[in-house]
Amino acid sequence: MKERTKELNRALYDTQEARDRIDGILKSVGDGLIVTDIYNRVILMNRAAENLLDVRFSELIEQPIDFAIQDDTLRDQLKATLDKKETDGQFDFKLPGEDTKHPRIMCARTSVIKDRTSEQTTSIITIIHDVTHEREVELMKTEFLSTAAHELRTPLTSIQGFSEILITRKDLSKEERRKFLSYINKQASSLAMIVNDLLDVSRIESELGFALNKQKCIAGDVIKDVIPYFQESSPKLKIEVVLPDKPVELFVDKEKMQQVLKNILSNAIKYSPEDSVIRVVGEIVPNLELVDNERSSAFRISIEDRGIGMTPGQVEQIFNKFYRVDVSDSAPEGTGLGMTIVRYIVEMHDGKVWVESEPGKGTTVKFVIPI
Amino acid sequence: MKKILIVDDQTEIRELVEVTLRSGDYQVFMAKSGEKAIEIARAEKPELIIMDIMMPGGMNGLEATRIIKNDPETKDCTIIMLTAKGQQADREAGFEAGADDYFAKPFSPLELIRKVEEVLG
Repeated sequence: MKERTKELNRALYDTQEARDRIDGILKSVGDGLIVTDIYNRVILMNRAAENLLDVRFSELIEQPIDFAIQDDTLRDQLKATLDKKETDGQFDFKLPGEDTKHPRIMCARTSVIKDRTSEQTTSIITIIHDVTHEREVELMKTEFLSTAAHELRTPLTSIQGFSEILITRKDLSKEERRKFLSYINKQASSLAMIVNDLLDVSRIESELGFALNKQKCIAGDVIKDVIPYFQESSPKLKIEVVLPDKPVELFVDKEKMQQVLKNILSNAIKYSPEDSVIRVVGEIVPNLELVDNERSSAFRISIEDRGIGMTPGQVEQIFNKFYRVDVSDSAPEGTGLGMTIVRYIVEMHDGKVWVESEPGKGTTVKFVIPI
Repeated sequence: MKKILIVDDQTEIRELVEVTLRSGDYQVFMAKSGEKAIEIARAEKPELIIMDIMMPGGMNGLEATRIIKNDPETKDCTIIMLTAKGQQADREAGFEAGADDYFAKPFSPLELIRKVEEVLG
């Protein structure tokens, strides 16, 4: 008799311990977890689920799931999914976030538990996972693709259209023929640039990276070579260049550095009034901002515009892939890749880039490269 | 002579459509923004408006289409939207805004003429 009692006590203790262990695991799982029976009554709920739905499991044990959910849409969605009694029923729903503009997006996924012998469904597990970030990235990618598609089509329209006109029409003047050919030529170059941007970014994405072709060059030359193109295309703009008196030698990939300057200048011009001023300043600074511990110098380039500026929220995202400040139909052209590529190139040179901006006043983009 | 209004923010595209239509017997007007399009539509009452759907920097093509179609003075203008090829959403948005037809970019000028002749009958 005593042996029996001892055995039973031992069994009880083991069961208790097993249950405590499972409880411990469930409590610490970050995702919300709800287990319901075939009548949709709540059997189990972990802390995360309690917090997400703002309820207490202790008040819900064996109650229909309806009582756990205040939001009507969510309740209907969940019940519809549970009624299907299948695994991998899935749906998204929103929960209030930090503010009304930023709700959290949650994904609820169901899994059925079947009795081993009878194969009957005994209960259903619903796991709730925060997918806010993933959905945001997906959205940006879709918008990026649609913008990229539009950017590619624009030069293609000119190229296809004018080439066909040149081939089929006999009534064009010599000047017109020349003009249309130059359009085709210009748009082909534009297309090449866009395709390069897209390839650069997809390389950054896949982390194959691109190789740097570093050579000794004079900082001033790298900067000055880039200016004329922008000055010509924006004649009303005043582009000022300020450089140190003595030439500064840098060991950098000249073409990539010029790409950095072009991308930043291009943004500055895009978001500034036609007759504005843009200052490009190059100067030697102590290398305090870089990881290097040795006291060495760096060359800092600042590109300052008096354009529309950015909010802190926009500045935070400016280097994100696919991020565009304005994606509405009325937005200026751009793939949202320029600054991503800028940061990548600067960081590959062991440098650092950052943005200072004030809405309504203007933006300054600064980057440093170790000398 | 039928009047056609071309609306696109890009000068080259406007020129392309204008050259394309030159072979027909049309009086061509051009606008580079939604606002200008509405102004010209009201003044000239063109039989056909070829409107780009995306026009950065101001009122876009959808908005201008909506306004033109809702104005009793201009609602009889036929509007063909220039959309990006394969973008179903563009087409749907265009029809929802009141456009009568769509034409995708990039395009063959010969096909555009065919479409214009078809629409103007």
